[in-house]
Amino acid sequence: MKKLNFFVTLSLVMVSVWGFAQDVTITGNVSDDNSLALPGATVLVEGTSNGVTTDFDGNYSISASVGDVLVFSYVGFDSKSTTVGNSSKINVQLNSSNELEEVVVTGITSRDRKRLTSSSVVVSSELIEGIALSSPDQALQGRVAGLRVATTSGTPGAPQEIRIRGEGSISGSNSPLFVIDGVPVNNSTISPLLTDMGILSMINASDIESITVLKDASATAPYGARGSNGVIVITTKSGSAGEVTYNLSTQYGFQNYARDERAMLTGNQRLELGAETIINDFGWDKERATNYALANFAGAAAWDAGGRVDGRWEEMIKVKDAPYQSYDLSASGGSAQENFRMSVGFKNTVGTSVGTDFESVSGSFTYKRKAGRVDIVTSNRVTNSIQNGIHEGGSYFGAPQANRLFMSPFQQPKNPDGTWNINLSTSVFNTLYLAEMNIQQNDGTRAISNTTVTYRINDDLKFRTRYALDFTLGVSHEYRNPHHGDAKGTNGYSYQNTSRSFTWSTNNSLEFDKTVDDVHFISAVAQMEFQKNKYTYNSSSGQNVPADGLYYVNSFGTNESASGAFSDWKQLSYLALLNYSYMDKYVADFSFKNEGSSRFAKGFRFGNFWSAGIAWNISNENFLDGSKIVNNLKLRASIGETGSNSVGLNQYQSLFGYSASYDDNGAVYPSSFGNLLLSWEKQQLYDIGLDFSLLDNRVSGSIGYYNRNTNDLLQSVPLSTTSGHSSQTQNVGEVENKGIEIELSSDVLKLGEFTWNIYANYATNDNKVLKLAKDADGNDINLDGGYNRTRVGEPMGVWYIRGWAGVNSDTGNPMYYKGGATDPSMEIVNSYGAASQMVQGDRIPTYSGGLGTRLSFKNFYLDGNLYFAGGHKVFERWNWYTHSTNLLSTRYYQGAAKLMERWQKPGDVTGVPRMRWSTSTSGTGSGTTSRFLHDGDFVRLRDVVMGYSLPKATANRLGFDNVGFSVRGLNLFTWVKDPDLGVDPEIRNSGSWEIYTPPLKSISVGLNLKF
Amino acid sequence: MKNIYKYLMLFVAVTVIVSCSEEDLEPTLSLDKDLSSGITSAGDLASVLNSAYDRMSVTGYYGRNFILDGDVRTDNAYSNMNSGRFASSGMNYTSQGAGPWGSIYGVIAITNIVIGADTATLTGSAAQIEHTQGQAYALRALAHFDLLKSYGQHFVTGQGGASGLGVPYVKTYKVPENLTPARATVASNVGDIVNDLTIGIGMMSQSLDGSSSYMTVAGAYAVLARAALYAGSVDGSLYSAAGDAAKWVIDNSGRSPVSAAGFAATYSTDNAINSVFELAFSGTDSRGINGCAYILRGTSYGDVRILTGTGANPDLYDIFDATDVRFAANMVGTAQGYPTVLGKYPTMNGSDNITPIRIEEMHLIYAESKLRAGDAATALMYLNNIPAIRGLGAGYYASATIENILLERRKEFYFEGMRYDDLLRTGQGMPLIDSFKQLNDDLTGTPPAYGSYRTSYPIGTAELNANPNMVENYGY
Repeated sequence: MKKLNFFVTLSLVMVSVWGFAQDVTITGNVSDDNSLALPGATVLVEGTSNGVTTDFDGNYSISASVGDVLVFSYVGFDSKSTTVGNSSKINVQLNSSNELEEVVVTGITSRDRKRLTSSSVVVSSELIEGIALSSPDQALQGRVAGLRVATTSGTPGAPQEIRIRGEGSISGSNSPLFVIDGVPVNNSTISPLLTDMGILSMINASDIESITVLKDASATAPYGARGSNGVIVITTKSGSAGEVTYNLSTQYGFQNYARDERAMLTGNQRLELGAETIINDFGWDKERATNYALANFAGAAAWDAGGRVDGRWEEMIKVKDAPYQSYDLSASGGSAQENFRMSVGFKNTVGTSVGTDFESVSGSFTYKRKAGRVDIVTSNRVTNSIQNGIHEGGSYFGAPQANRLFMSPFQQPKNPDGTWNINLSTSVFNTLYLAEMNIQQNDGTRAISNTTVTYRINDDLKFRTRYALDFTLGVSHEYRNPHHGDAKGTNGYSYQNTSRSFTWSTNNSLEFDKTVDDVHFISAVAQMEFQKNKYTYNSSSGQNVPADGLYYVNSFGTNESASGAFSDWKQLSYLALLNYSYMDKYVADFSFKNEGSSRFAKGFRFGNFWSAGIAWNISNENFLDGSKIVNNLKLRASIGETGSNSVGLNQYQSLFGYSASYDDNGAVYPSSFGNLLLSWEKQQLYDIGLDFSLLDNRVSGSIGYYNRNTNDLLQSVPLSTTSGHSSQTQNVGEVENKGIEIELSSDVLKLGEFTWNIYANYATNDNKVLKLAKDADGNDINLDGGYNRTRVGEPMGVWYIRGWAGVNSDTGNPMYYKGGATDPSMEIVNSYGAASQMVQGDRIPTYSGGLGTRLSFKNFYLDGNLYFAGGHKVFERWNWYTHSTNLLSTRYYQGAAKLMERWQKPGDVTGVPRMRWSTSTSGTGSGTTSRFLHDGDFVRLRDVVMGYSLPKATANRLGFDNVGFSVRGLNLFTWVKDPDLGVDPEIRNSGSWEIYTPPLKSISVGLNLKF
Repeated sequence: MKNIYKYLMLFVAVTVIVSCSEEDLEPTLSLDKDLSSGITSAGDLASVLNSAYDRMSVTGYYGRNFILDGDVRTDNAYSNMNSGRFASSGMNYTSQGAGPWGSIYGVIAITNIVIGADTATLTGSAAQIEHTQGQAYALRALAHFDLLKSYGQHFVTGQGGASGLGVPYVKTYKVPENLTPARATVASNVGDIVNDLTIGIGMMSQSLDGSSSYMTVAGAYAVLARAALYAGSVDGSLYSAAGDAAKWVIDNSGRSPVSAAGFAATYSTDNAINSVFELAFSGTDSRGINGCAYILRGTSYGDVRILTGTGANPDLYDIFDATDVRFAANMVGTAQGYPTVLGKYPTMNGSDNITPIRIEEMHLIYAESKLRAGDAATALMYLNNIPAIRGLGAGYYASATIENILLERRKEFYFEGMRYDDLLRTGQGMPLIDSFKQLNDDLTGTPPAYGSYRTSYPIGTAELNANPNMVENYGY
């Protein structure tokens, strides 16, 4: 944060013309209140643009005339002025300013926090860099009240799902907008393969200066049509003035599953249960049933003859202590007029599922030049990431994580001679062999260029123009071998896809800043922005490869097919911002945006979005002046309207599609139902909050309330499929999200150089559907599915499944609650068919937060934080196979060890029904019921880091400016409320567990050298 | 201050240069065309109808499920649940919905676009346009007939037979007042099916017929024969119409039953001599692992197998003569140790055309129609035509009975999707062959009897929610 703010400060203060008298050379040193040197501090002759910055040791040298006033400033510190007298040596000590005076970057402007009317949480680089996960957004988990990162997959490079203040849209996107250095960017994924790669994983975390999370109306409304799900503003690092310094950081660590998932049946257990299905259904004796199972169940005879050695599938698909490493080298330096930063990075991560890894190389260059009235900043970065993925996200037979759940222990991964066994007598593939033979690779390159030219028209007015390019090239390649697996039937399969997404945007603004009589602070911005994206892809595939060792489509001559497409979207907007502060006591904030999007029909393209905010810095009032208790107190409120255009391209049109064929002739079909009235999804948002800092800034924080009302929802309204279409996108419906958000930080203990700080955040989210589309009779069109339903008056997508009433202890048969859509009956019924679906709880956490502590003593610090969420339920999706008390778990696939608790004789009290000769899940108790729905509440030790820097003298003796070490642990400990929850509690926002590489825990060591 | 104006002008200038109007926000349509301007010629109309055939070829319809559901629920086949597919074998549907509802209405929407096209504005041959629209009428009838068989309540006890609930008969595309149709009665559906076929036959011309991969005049008569025979079970007066239509196909289609020697090859031959209506598949346009061949013998995703048992009810192995080419080693064999059908879907990647209607069926429909009309002699002649040409000698059957006709139909059409309808339309439930394999209903141990609500699919929750006029089937 510091470096960037330094530039902001610099650009704010250096607003005069060149030219000054040069009389004496003043030298000196700038240090902080602990007498530590402040490198890069600004020294400026007041009223001129004559300025220098201090070197690494805090020393400066500047020409000035006697009587001039030198202004010393450094971000995070109070500025100090000294009049030049006779002495040519001026040493200055700056006092650190209180926390609330930091400058907050909102992507469009940078503003002193006391002039903000919104709460904006800034996560600084130190919290981002260390978490050597494959994508920087993961660092936000637990750090920001009201922001949740749902980990979908632990496969390195896989995308995450982020939600800010819950979900407001039923059919549209609920993902926040990402802004990098002032430009909204595409945060989609690149690959059609089963393991996807998030394009944020193509931003090097070490190049990020800070991430600001915008949530409130006055902060998000300037983003108009794309701001309704919150905005995540990423600011990259730029150069710093002073001698060229080098920074090398390395990190090395090991990863494992964060939580061991359910144990499965051993071979002997499986046989015992399998025999029981026959005993129970046909009345055979145990020996006869066991012999039948041994003779008839796939693989059992060989397993028995081979001494009953179980196949060790689970162990073999797991990569234990999977290593990762990252290396970043950067250099920066220059003068106040001209400086640069460049960096190179390399990262390599081995995944915890067999066959996965991720490697990334990146480079960046940022250059800044001040020339007269013109400031030029250009920032350019390129990253190439290669991800070797796997089948996941479903029960694919070729998915390693599905092997763990579905592979019979009767089957052996290897033949006696040590080769892979690919003649398995089951549907499930040997994924260990596939991991070795197949290719499933994403190779993404992302280049971002951002150039800004600022022209100072006069002291008050600046013209700024920005031109940004964002290019993503995604290359995906899949090869499936002809010997085993999905492509055996076609004698091999190869697929290649190249996608290209290019966005250019231009942004012109006039920025006005004026202070009148030292009491009126006025800041205004007028801006226009145009953004255009074009996207193309080409893919091809083929079958039937003539020989091994050929991997690309060229060698796959049979049934070759190709496809390609082009699409584009455009966005145009005009924005006006006004911020007025009276003595920094009373602040008012307005924004207005007129924005148009190509996603809508002519006449419905433009929307108006606005916000108004006020803040009262109570602590600046006279009655609190000099208060020892209250250092800062601010009451703020804002209200506004934002939008969302997250609708598929061309949805407004009734279109014919031409991508089909029949009998090798083109076939034309209606591809969308169309709705010419389609327009923006709108959101009214208001929030009110109190920011405070008390007791000599020992306790600080904020407390706030928010209410988002999303209406005119872009909803896929179900159509009667008799129309030939399943849905039409309409602007109907209304969803409300409201809750409180609290952030707190307290220096509990300060003893000399020892500090103990505790910080916490907590947020609630109360989600409710207020309105849905109506049918011709005026009744709501309820969105009821097999697992979830969305109805007016309830949270979106609540669990809607049958109620499990346990196992009848007399018969061992499953029991259900009769249920019902409204007023569910708790009467017990004996068959799945006799029971009806009923509401069973929330899918989205209703509360979440973080709690952390930081100890620091001299050059040592220890920081740990917990992340927690809850109030929701998690559905263990594939339990309908692994927990089925029938042939699916004992003959065809595999059962969980939990099945050993099954009912055996009258009087047994258990949650697992008796074994049945059947393959019906609903008939034997493992249909979709609340049996597999568990409380999702959990607490996780998200991040623990211990750091130590060598004393400066020691470091200098070794030839370094700074030497730092750190040890970090991620997700080391997890507590779940429901002991029956057999999977990792951090799952997708759907709340339904799916087959992915589980989330990870890791331990790493890091070394940081500055020289 | 003058400078300020200069720079303001500069700002305005730059803004205007890169700025644009609403027109400039027009997206590029590179793949699709606007619906209102999409059909301008006879050729366009035929291309639209092609997508009806394409939609008939999906896995959920004639690409696999609709065909094999006609066997996997019966005494011919079962699902071993090897990969969790064809749980329909057990007929334990939940009220969530089951069957081909959406797939078939997708076909109907296309036919309605073609039928509703403003022909006066189209360029090209008027006769060709009329022929294309005639095809659409016939396909619309076939699609509704398939829906009626899947969801109609006519065989469910106490639901009113012919006056019971059928399906919505949709005749328009995107007409607002018809977007939430109610269910018509079974009798009304049958009337509409016959009517559409009659109109279609009237509009089509044999001289414009394409290959049997498209609907032809003979194809439309064949659909009429099949539909009328089926509907005869609720309205006996239709049997004779079935016979008349079947006879028309036998006499006028130019198609003939294939010889014993050529029998197996017809399954890998496009538009074979016995094909009346088939759907085209190719290497690139095939269902692959979601196709019929895969499900019958894939190592993975291969779940449907021949049902065998030792009880009183005959399985497929019990009904064939040793010399019958239809059950020879090239037709049936084993996959992963399970007996299964190889020869009817011979190419693993699913590139063989699938033939829902072939001429042999017309002989047996004519035989049945004649028998039901009391003409046993003609019936016997046409019944015996089939075993004769299969190399089993003339006069294979001594008498024409419904039982013999059903037996011959089972032999001729096993794994072609007919068995389920044949059992139900003749008042039979699903026979028990082997309770170890046939997991039809694990709570009772027996498959559903005739009249059970489970012989009809449930209509899905999604449809019931979106359409206030929709009524769920009895029992769900």
